[in-house]
Amino acid sequence: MSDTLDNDILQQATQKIAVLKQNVSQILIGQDTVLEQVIIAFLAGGHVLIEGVPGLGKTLLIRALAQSISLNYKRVQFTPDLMPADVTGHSMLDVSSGKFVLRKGPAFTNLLLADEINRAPAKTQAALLEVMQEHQITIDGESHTLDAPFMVLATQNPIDNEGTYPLPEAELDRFMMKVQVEYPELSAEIALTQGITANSHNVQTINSVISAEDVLSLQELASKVLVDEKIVEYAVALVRASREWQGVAHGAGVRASIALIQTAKVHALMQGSGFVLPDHIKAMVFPVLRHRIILSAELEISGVNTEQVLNDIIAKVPAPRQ
Amino acid sequence: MKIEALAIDTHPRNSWKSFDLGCRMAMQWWWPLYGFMLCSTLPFFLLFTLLSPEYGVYLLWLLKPWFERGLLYIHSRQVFGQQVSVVEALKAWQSQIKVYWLASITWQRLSPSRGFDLPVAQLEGLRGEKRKARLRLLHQTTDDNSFWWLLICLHWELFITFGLLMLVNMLIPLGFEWNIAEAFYSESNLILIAYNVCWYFALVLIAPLFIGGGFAAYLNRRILLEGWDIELGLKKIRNRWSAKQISLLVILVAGLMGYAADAPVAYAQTNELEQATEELATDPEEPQLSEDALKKHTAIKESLQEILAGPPFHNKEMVRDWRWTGWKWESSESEEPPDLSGWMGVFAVIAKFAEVILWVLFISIIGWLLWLSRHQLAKLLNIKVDLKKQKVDLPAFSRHEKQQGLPSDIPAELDALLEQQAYRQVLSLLLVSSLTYLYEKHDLSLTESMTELECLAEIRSKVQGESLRFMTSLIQLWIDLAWAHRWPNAEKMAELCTQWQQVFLTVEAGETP
Repeated sequence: MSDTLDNDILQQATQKIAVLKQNVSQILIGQDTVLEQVIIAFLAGGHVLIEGVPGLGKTLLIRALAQSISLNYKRVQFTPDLMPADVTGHSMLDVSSGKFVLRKGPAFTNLLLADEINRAPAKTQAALLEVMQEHQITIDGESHTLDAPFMVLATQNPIDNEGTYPLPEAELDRFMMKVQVEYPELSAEIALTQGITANSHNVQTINSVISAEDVLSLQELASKVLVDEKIVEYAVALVRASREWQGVAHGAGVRASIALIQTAKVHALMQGSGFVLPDHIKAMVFPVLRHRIILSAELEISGVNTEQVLNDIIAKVPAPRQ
Repeated sequence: MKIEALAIDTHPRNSWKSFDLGCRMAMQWWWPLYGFMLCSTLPFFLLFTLLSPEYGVYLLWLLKPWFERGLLYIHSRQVFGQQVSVVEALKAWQSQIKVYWLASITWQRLSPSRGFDLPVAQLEGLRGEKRKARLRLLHQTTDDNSFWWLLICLHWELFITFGLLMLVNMLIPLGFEWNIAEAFYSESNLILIAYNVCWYFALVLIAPLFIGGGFAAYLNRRILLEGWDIELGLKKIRNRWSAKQISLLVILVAGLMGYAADAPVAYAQTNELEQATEELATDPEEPQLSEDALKKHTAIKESLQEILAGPPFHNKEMVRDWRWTGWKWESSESEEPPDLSGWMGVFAVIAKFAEVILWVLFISIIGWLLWLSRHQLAKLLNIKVDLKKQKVDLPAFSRHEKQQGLPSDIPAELDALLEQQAYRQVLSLLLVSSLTYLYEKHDLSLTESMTELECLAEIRSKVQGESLRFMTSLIQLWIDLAWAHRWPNAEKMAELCTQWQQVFLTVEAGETP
């Protein structure tokens, strides 16, 4: 299929991703788009901010994903009294030896679920900055590299704003994607209800289908997917348009362009393509850019939302041509 | 028509007082009016509601003018002192509907002055042009509020309808679960029937008032136009006074009218007439003088008759239209021109120049605005704009094609490019020419921001057959070349060019692909 990627390797990779998706969707019914976007972000080496009302299976998703890849999984419930050390860990004096011993926090894992991240104050949220960007944790001046693969899945509730601390732009920018979880369709909801009440939807029942090494090789493979220069120009044009758009107070930065390309590569790989199409970029615009754009007060008052602005940007920026 | 038999006071009123009078008339004769209304409308209401609870009332609403004929019949008889019973009104109803029976429920149904106009057709029996002329005359006043009267009655109907509905809602016992707001949007017939009944009661209640008001306004207009009050007053005087007294009064009135007719023209001559009459009266012994005076008297009288026969005393005509009265400054032409020597002259030239510039600017802005809103205007005026002739920004797929445009002989160009193995340009030319052709034939919605696959999806939604198959393989080949960097082989390219000629050149020759 591609000049750079061998056809068989590409096919195997697509197959592995499909199996992983299929395995998780046994548990998480009716959330195919969410699942696909989370897997894309995971394989692209990014972090995901999941927004949705409680009870839509956000925790279930990450547990099923961790179970399917046989990875470590930790969950931290963010509360107003949560301290940075409760996430990252700290040094503790061992009385018997008289030395400080490192006590690792839940961040030392492969998949970290930061549940209701906006319930914790800014200083605790900031504890994740280094973890997310550098994949390392510094305690008492000593940096500890985290095991690969590593991904933070943070959740937040869009309707309950009482006593919450909105995530700062720097934190938001570190999330590769913001995924919106909606209610499943009727048939999916019925199937989900039947499955859970019959106890057939237990996360423990699903098998591990790919290994952590497979994940790393998939990540490496994704990085080799061919991207034409014009496609990169297109991704950058979209991001720049978000900054120059009328009514956008704060547009997306450079990280958004990088994320667009990275996620488009995985998306192409997922579809069995060894090269990125402009359509792959377009498909990633919403999850990658929606949390990186801040609308002006005028636009918000007039009822325009980020999705509408992004739609306009996509319609306005010419598609790449050779 | 015996106006002396009128049961109402005939003094002139304004329209609002007339409507008030109409309501009082309806209240005075409520028994025959409401009796007739119930007897005539109830069977229709029950029948229509039975046939269709949803649309039955609309039919009744449409036929309402027919029922109003009976109400006017009662009003018109009662107002002249003739007692009308419900049975009599029902018997006469059929004959009252005959005039304009179809018009009243079709094109005259939404007439805003229906209540006011009805007596002209029904009571005066006028039709066609005569009716129109009569209505024009009756409406020729600034105090014509018949439309507002209709609007007021309509609101009364609505208020009463919804008021009754609310009353029903309030009177429902607590144990009975029925919410009027929810029921209104439900598919249940219960709310429809409840609404129909409430509306029907409002209709029966308001219709006699509406017709009474309209009829009273009509009577008032005739009182004003025909001087019924004066006529009645004179009749009363005649009944009271002897013939001699009446003659004297007529002379006196005529004299007063002659005196007051037109002061500026006739005043002097009237004085002369009086003088001559006085001469006649004071010098009866002098025949010479009497002859002169008589001649003078006759001449003045003739002159007076002449003046009185002409405008503005007779042949009065009122014309209402728009006329150009000229620019305001034209009226001051006779004034002396201002002194424009020295600096004032310079300023005047600058002002004139600025005026021209401003006018040009103004016209340009208007023209520019019209140009900007040409599509909206075309839509508004229902003019079909030929979009094909407009420049369309189609996806070019190649910067070369975008800059150069399509060649005049595409097959020859394709052959030349194939020989040069310039496959990128061949594919791009094939794509752009095919898209341009399909866009014109199938009105595709293609934009610059659409990707290759989005273009294909749009084509798939509107194009079928060989053209679609060709476009699918062409776009796939282009994607492979453009984004996967896979070079096509010569055979495939040659095959594609042949296919293009088969699909699009045969179509141009008039065949369907």
